[in-house]
Amino acid sequence: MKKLSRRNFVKTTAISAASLSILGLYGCKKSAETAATPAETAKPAETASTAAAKKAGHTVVIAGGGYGGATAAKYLKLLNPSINVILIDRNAEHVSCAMSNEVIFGLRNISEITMPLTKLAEKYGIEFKQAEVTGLDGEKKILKTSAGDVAYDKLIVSPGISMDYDPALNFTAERQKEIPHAWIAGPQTLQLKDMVSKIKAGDTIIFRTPLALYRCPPGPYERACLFGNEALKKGAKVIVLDPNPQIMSKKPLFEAAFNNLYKDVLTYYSGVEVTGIDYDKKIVKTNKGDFQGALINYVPNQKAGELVFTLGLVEPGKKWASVDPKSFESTLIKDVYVIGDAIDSAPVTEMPKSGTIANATAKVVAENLVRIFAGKEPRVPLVGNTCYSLVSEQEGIWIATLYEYDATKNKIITRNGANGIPKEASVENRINGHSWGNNILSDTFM
Amino acid sequence: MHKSIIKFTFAVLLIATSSNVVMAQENEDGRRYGNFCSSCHGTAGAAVSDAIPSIGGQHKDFLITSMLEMKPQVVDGKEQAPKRYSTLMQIFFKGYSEDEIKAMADWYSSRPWVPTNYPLNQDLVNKGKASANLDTCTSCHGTDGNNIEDTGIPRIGGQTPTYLYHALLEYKNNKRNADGRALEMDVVKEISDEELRALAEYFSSLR
Repeated sequence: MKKLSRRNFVKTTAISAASLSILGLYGCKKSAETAATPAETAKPAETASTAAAKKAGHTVVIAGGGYGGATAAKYLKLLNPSINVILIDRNAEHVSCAMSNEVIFGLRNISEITMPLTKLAEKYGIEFKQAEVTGLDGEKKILKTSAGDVAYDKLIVSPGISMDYDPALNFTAERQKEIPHAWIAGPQTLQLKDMVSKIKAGDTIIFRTPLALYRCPPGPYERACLFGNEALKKGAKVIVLDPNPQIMSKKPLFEAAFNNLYKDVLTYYSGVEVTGIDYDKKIVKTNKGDFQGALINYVPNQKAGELVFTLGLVEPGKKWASVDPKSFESTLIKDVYVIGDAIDSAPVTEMPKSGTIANATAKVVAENLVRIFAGKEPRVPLVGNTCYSLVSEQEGIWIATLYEYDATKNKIITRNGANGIPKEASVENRINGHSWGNNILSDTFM
Repeated sequence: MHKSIIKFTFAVLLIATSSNVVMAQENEDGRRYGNFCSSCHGTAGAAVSDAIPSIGGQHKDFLITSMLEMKPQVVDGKEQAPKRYSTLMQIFFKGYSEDEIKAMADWYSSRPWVPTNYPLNQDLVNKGKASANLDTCTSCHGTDGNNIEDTGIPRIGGQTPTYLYHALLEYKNNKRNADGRALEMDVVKEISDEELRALAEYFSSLR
């Protein structure tokens, strides 16, 4: 043990106390052990826990630092700081898709939803690698990345979604830039915000929603409402082209907004098939007629993030990664867990593709991995989903559901009928929704 | 100077360490039932925003009463309206049994009470501090808003400000009229909304 100067002692003691206040929220024995040896802990969480983990040999590697991956990394460390947690993402920060509609319409600043993964890593003693994941050796348990091979005991993959463009529409890379979907938050969010700011009186906005299954079931209808709100302010019109047979989430509430708040400016079409796009004349051709617009926001259909295809976690012909609903372990490769939007949800769960579900299931997987490492039986998923949406700048709505794994159906289903939406939109729901947003960002990324 | 810092940090360390050791018996079932609650109420129930309450470190008896009052009871096969108003919490409590709710209360109440860091409106804080009704509040909740003698009375010192205001309005407007506790809170019926808003901000400032 190195001898401490008084100055260093003060410094390291203070740091230990600080890290305790974080770790004290959870697994307390471990924190107390860390505290007993402040001398070894210039950067306590990192050096001490990494050393311990190497001895114990428990390394969890997490590919993807969104709601699923970031929560898993944080909660693994909270539950057992001695586990070696390595978080890999191609970006050093994650821009939240939840709440990005608010950014598009000037109701939040993008900095509020831009989450530095490096800070999260530093706070909890997570090793962060900014790298591309390129492959997987499931037998040797090695993840291949642009920053070298990374060995794991358990691998968590949480890549979110990617776009599944209809080849018939000839969406070249150039045209994808001209017509942003802004359904993965980041530069496209700001691009669409800029386009929205240029809407003027007499303009028509054409908004095509994605076909289920897609990320964030109420998201398209929230965006439609906020387009409607913008149209009201500026004297424009909105055409909503929905390929689904009906509004897919919080239906009575969005329907009420379309029929009341936006009845003069918004026209909603369901069962729409887009057959072609005239990119020069900005005309969208459909089975319900042709629509010309000053602004086209076309959100394509979706599939799992490219990563699960690269890693061989998708069954042939499928668009999402297959998992065991008891554990979220891949049905194709052992010791690999897939969470968040990328899972093939339809066969195994009623849960939506939402940030809250990614956050909640990440906690289940983190807790179960800690139990497995400790020689205990894992427990079946019990998670909730809360999702707030805006119907205008003033009023919000929500959906709330409790889910649990059901052994007889081998599915994650609603628990004891605990599912519901409010009777109507309200200011109180908007205020609570704003708090929900801040708290889930904090619970996931801070 | 260094000595005092050492003493201070040592004291912090000792407090943190001893409280951690005490907490070593976690109610893991409660943690499991309530694992997702933190997405709205903050990690281990420490909320960072203003309208949703912190529940980590809140008094256990108060948590149990609150949660059970928001749970819709079934009488003769018919679901009754919950005793206490909530926006969406009644949906979640429908999904849990009483024992599970008690386990969650046990776990969340055993977490540290972390005062919110939500930015304050100092003007409102001052108005709340000057309120003629302040003594009425502190007589039960304690001068720091964190009476620890009676665990049926909630901690309000350092609680999120808009939540406190909404809670006061609910008492005032008979939305939390379930039990004797609500009767105690009848005092707020004589207080203007504006003054309640200031009192909420003042108690949130006791961090």
